Amino acid sequence: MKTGFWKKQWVRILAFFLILLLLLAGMSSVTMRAAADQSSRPYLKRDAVEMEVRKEAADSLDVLVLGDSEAYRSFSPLQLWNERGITSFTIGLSGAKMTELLHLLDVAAETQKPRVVLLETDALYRIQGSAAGMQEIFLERWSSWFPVFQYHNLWKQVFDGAQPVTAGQWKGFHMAAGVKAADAGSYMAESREKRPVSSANRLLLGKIKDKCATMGADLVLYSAPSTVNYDSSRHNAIAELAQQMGIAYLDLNQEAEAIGINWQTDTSDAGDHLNVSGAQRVTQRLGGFLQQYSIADKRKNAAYASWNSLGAQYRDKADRVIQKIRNKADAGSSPDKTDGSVSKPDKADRSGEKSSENIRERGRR
Amino acid sequence: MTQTENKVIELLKAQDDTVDYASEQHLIDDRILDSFGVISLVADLEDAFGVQVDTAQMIPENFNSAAAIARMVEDLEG
Amino acid sequence: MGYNEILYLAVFLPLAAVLYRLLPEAAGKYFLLAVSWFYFYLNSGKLLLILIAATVFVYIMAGLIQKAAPKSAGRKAAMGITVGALFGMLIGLKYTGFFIRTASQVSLSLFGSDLPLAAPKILVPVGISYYTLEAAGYILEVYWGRTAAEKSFCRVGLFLGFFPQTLEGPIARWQDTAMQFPGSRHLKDTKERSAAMSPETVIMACLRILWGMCKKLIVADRLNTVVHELYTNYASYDGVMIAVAAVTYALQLYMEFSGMMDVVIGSARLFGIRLPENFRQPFFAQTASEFWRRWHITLGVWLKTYVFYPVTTSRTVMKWNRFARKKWGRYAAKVGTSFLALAPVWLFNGLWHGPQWNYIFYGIYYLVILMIEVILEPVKKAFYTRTGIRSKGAVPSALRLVRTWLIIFTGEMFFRADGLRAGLAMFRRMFQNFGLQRLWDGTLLDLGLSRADWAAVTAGTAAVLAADLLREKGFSFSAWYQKRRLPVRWCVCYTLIFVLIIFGAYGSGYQPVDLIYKGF
Repeated sequence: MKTGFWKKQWVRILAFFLILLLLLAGMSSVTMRAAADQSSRPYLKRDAVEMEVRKEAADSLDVLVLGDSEAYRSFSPLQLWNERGITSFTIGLSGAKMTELLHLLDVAAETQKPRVVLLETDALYRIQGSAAGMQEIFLERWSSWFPVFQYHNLWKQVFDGAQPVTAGQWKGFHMAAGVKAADAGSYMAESREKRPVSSANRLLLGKIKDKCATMGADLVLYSAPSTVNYDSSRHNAIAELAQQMGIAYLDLNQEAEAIGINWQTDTSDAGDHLNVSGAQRVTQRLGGFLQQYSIADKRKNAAYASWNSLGAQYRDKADRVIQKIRNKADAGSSPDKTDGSVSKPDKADRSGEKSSENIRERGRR
Repeated sequence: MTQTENKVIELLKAQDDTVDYASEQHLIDDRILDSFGVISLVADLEDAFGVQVDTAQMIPENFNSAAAIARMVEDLEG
Repeated sequence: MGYNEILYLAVFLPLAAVLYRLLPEAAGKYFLLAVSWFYFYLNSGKLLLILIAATVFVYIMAGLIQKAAPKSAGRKAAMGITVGALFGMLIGLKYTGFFIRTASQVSLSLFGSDLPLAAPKILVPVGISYYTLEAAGYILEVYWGRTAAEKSFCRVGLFLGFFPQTLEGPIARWQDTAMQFPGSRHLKDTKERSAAMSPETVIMACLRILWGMCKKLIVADRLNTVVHELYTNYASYDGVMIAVAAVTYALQLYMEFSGMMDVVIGSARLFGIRLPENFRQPFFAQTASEFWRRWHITLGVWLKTYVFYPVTTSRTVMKWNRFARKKWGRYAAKVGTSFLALAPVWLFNGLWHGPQWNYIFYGIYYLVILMIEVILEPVKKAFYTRTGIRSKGAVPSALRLVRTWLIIFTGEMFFRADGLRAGLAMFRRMFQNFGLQRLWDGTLLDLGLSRADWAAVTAGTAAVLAADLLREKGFSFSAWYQKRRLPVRWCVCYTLIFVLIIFGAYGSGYQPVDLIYKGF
């Protein structure tokens, strides 16, 4: 099989790949520059949230919330601001993988020095198997070397045009107004089963923890209430993992009743995600938890005036929507017949991510 | 051209007389004979020569030309 | 680790190919078999033992069959036992799970409790549907005396387990691939062998892999979003949207399956192996039967070789044929015999895809259409001679093309539907409230694909159909490519690479889609 012919080929092969690397680097710098101008495109969802975080004033955030759609549908930074004067940002990405969360944390760390990082745990169960995990880690590295892989979808703006930002409007929170009741049953019925987190995701959780330590932040895990994504076997596994790694863990599924989650009204898609009414209760609970860090109230601080005005806007809108959702339930109409009269969520919030979210979420069930 | 071959060509012409079977070398490959054509030809061959064609003979090489078919028949006649 | 995964394309495949070239020739076969089995292990874990057991079994039984006298009862029995055991294994592993699950569901709905024998966690090794057919074919070839039982165990192992074929075929017959694998009787012609491993071959193989990945990532994986939505929530769609479902799935399946075949065939070429083609421009077929000679070709060829011919030449059918000819004439005999031979072929085809009613329906659907083709044959001939219309003319050809497409799209819709009931419901809904304007009033943008995605799908499809058209006209890309000068050749490569990187549906917002035919 060894032929002299191949020996003559090696220079050529080397040249071919050298030129390929140069082209990749060139394309990457072009796309990177284009991406910086185009942060507001929704199909750059991950990149949009990344760019939004970069836009926040340096050293201005006390709390970061990381996670997938469970995070950005359950935690509202502006509510926390209105209640306690704590600044926060929800860095959420639908179907986020742990590698992506680590990357987003790295990005945030460039400009922010938060006290607390709250990590929603749903992403711990994405990407199973060690080979798949290794591949994810490798790909993440690869696309940070050559951003053309990360930003390759930029061409789509030629056809899709500019669309409004959704990621940064409410500091990363997605306000969903729809109601579709969940059959919660006894989804958290106790059991001894454990559904272990894959080794790759454990490794990545460790890296996130280390990163938080170097930033001087406390890492806290929380599970947002979701009848679709959680049960006791996940709770047991995450609780054990958190204990082993010395990380605090709040499972709001166990507390769902205590914090007042009403599965008839508080979810927009039959228990998968919370709507703004559910998020209000979760944010209140997490705010209570954050009290122990005695973070200074900045509402009177002139440097944060923009937070006050945005907070007021948020209050107006959220209060109205929440009231509608809850009144409707009180009026006794059947809430699971969906939301004819309840105001619809932002259009971009529904259509843009509908498909990818559906498919991703499906894989988890 | 052998006698068997002539007889084979006669049988083939009964199916479709627009083909020059004496020279055609790709009856199967060019789909002049499709699989249904092959099976009815087999029935004809069995009747005409009193041979028994088995599944083992059902390969394209045996049916691609009149000569090949004749050779197969002669082999079967032993 | 599917063939579309970066781990396979960037690590496993190149590493295996380079090592294979560096190793001395004598070690090649052991290496290739080890790599193939390792790949199987990566995909199916311990179930590799089932493949190894099947290989040993087939190797030994082929020898026994060969030793038995031709046409003896012993030979027939050995063949029967072997083929029976192979299919028994396939049915046991692939179909029992289904039966138990169904029984369990019935029990759950009747008595409110699961069956005691529940947890039907029968793991099915990947590719069992494919290697079982190959093994059975080999045994039959030996039984008929068309090939000698192979002495080299490695070669039998590679014939059944060569890693590019593991997940999705192509289903090779012994005569298609076996002698290309390194074994005891090596390719004598070293010239031919070194041509099979020349740099040109390697480059063409890599380009073919790239081309296949473009089909999958740019078109198929994008369409998956639409297909998933339309078939899952079919009850909220009707009229033209169901037609969209039928067309998009047929397109997705073609782009995905033929694209992965490009990757598979290209992969095999890196080891000097030429696998049989599985697709030949299927959308240019003029009739349903021609479609099946162009679509999943190796399954069709296998069925023809090992089901159709054995049935038609069986004594019973022969006798019936002769009897029918005497009694009702040639035409009736042909129709009858066709039915006797086609019915098992198409039932097998349907069932092979899995134990589901919609697959069985899919088989019967094509059986009926092909029977109609046979029955109408004289009518068709009479029509063309009476009217004087040339059957090869542009208008009749175009009409036949459209008719064949309708047959294909409808068939694939039943194939993909979530069960036969859903398929029939979809078919009914297609004729309600057709609403053609939904094709351009923006409804299509609510299915999860943006304008840009649809543009990529359209451009990608047009490119593939153009390439298919060129190939149909006899254009050879590889000959064209070899004649270009180096800068042009490299530009072609770079263009293909960057088209894939930029327009591929991957990364944030897209979900990688598993291989469709791996599931069968």
